[in-house]
Amino acid sequence: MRRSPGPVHPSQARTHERARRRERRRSGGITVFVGKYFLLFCALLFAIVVVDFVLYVAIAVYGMQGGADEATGPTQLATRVCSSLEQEDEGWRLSPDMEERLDSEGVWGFLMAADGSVVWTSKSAPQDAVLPATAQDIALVAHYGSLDGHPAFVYTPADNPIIDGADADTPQSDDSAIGEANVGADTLLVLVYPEDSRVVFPTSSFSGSSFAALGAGVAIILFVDLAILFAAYVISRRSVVKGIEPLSEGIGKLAKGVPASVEARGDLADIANDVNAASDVIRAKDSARANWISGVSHDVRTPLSMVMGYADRIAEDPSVPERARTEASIIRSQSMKMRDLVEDLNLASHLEYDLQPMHPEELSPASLARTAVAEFADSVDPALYELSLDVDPRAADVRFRADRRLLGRALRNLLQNAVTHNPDGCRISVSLGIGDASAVTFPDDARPGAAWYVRVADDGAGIEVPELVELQNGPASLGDAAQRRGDGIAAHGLGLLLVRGIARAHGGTVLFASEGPGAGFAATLVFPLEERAGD
Amino acid sequence: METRDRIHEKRLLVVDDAPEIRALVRAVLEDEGYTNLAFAAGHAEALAEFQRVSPEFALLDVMLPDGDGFSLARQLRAMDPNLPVMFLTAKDRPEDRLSGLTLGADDYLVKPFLPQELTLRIGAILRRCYPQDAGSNSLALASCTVDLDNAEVHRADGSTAQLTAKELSLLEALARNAGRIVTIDALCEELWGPACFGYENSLMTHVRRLREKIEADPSHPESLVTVKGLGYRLNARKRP
Repeated sequence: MRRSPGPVHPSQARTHERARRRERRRSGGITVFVGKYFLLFCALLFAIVVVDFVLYVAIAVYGMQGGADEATGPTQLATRVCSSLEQEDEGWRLSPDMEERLDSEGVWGFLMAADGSVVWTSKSAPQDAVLPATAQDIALVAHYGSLDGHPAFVYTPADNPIIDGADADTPQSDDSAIGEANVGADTLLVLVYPEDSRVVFPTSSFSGSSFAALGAGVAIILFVDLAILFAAYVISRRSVVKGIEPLSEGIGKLAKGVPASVEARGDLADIANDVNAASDVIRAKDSARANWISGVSHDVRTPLSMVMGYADRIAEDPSVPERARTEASIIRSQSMKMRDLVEDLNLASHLEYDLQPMHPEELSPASLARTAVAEFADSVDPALYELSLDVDPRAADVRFRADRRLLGRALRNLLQNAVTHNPDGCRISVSLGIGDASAVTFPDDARPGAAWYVRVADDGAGIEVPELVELQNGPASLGDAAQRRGDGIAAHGLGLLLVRGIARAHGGTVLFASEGPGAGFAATLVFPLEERAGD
Repeated sequence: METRDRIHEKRLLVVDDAPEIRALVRAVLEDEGYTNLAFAAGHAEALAEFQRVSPEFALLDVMLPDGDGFSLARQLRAMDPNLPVMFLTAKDRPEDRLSGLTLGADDYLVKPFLPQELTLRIGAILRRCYPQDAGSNSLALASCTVDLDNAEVHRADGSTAQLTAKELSLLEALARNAGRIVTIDALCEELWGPACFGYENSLMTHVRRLREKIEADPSHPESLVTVKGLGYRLNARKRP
């Protein structure tokens, strides 16, 4: 696996992107959540205000223009009436078409001269119409907009300084100018509409100061309302998020291939059950795969025993010609490699699915390293490989809880890796020591102050930087490896894959280093140093 | 073990359902000089063979078509409590190994195996269980011969030296693994029992005293050599 250069695979990049996103989400946290939803909420309110305003204006304009009724609005009608009134010798006369129009709308009116006398009454006026006779009468009609229970409107075509103040000079429309010319500035036109055809609001008043405070009051009321709305929104949203959180956690676990068990009540219970069912399915598939692998590795052992056993007998039989013996010893050593491969595959699959029962015990890494190196030294040609073990005195007494067999396997695989990549021999130095762990990233976010390490370094072929990077970011599981580059490569890098898996299972990690081609290669297993009480 | 001794006349029972494994084991054991071999393919057949030959050693496959090797071992042990049992397993799972050893199995071997692994282990178990049949137990070194039974060193110049109990167990542990590195830890465990930490200095003292007795020049050892950082290795002389 050290000899296979290649670009970073897209799926690898995807994995990194996912990790970065997760990191971002975690660091953003609650401020992003509140900020984002507050902005959304404000935008929503703004949209409501704009839509309301537009609707209000539309409705108001429609209503002013008479709404759905055929009737014309009082101001408009009054302006027309004034401009259609003409003074004749015997009094005032309205043009016949206007008279007709008033009649058709059920409106009647009268014109009052400056002295309070009614100088004109429309033909549509009822016979029993009560006409205001005094200044009090006309003032009350104007105030309440009502005459004998009918909506009534008082109109004058001219600006009157008594209402608008001295500086009133609102520009007049053409119709009202004609009206003023017709009826004079000192007359009042009163139009009486049919009962219930218009709604009139009699004017009322507020004290000046309380009216000024009204704006602020409305603003405060509006603000409190908005705050209540927002609080309700946030609370309901948070309760939803809270309900979804265990589900999202469970699904996140599933995405990582970890079995999940989710408990949820109410509306989300169905989804939780589905997540649990999915987890069970994944688990069943995983264990089926692991069992399949272990079945294959079991079945391969008997034929492999034959190959190894008989090859060994031929290789060790002095009566067999030298060449055949050499070839038999090649068969023997290759079948032993096959045995290692099968064991690695089986172990890796069991480690991956957490089916491998770990048998942790308090052990001495120094002793473990001595055993592993001694066994390995016995199995390789001493003429080609020079093995040495250097134990830092400080690390000699380190105790670590680990599965002896697995950790030994990891060391053996690293030693085997050095031999595999340096077929012409090399010096392999194994060192055990204690170091500062602050620069090392451990799984499970462990942050130990110190770590113990065991380094397997050779002075052999070494590797290029890109390969080193690829190796360091190598697959951490069988599934990952298969996803990246097809099944063949997963088997190719099985030895180091297993080292990584074993390191992770013990809360540690593995680091690779090389000074470049020809400058050797080093692999370091790093494990957090356990704090020991009383030390 | 080249010298004929009664160890090779022990009755061995081999139980494995695969005929090719039985054939291989038969070839390997016969080459090694074992003459009383009995074979069985399954649980029932093994019990019948046991009644017939009353074996003195059993090599059992863990997976048998009509039952597992563990229950077979229990049954055989019920009939002969001292029967040495070794398992041959195609399973690589620790729980299997553990249950094998808690059953009192003397050893186990994982398939696939090399023939000499099998013969070495069987020989070691038989010598341990039947010391009276193991023949003279002497060790030939570069400059002396050691009579392990009497803990005596016979030097080339005719002089003799007596080994202490610790020196004898040390030498025996190294002799069992002659030609291979035995780690400091394994030797400490041999001498002082398991979980013995911090005995390295005592071990070095014993090694120095042992060298004074078995080496021609203790400061330039030929037989008991140090493998720096790892342990020691005993270079036994090939017997003529």
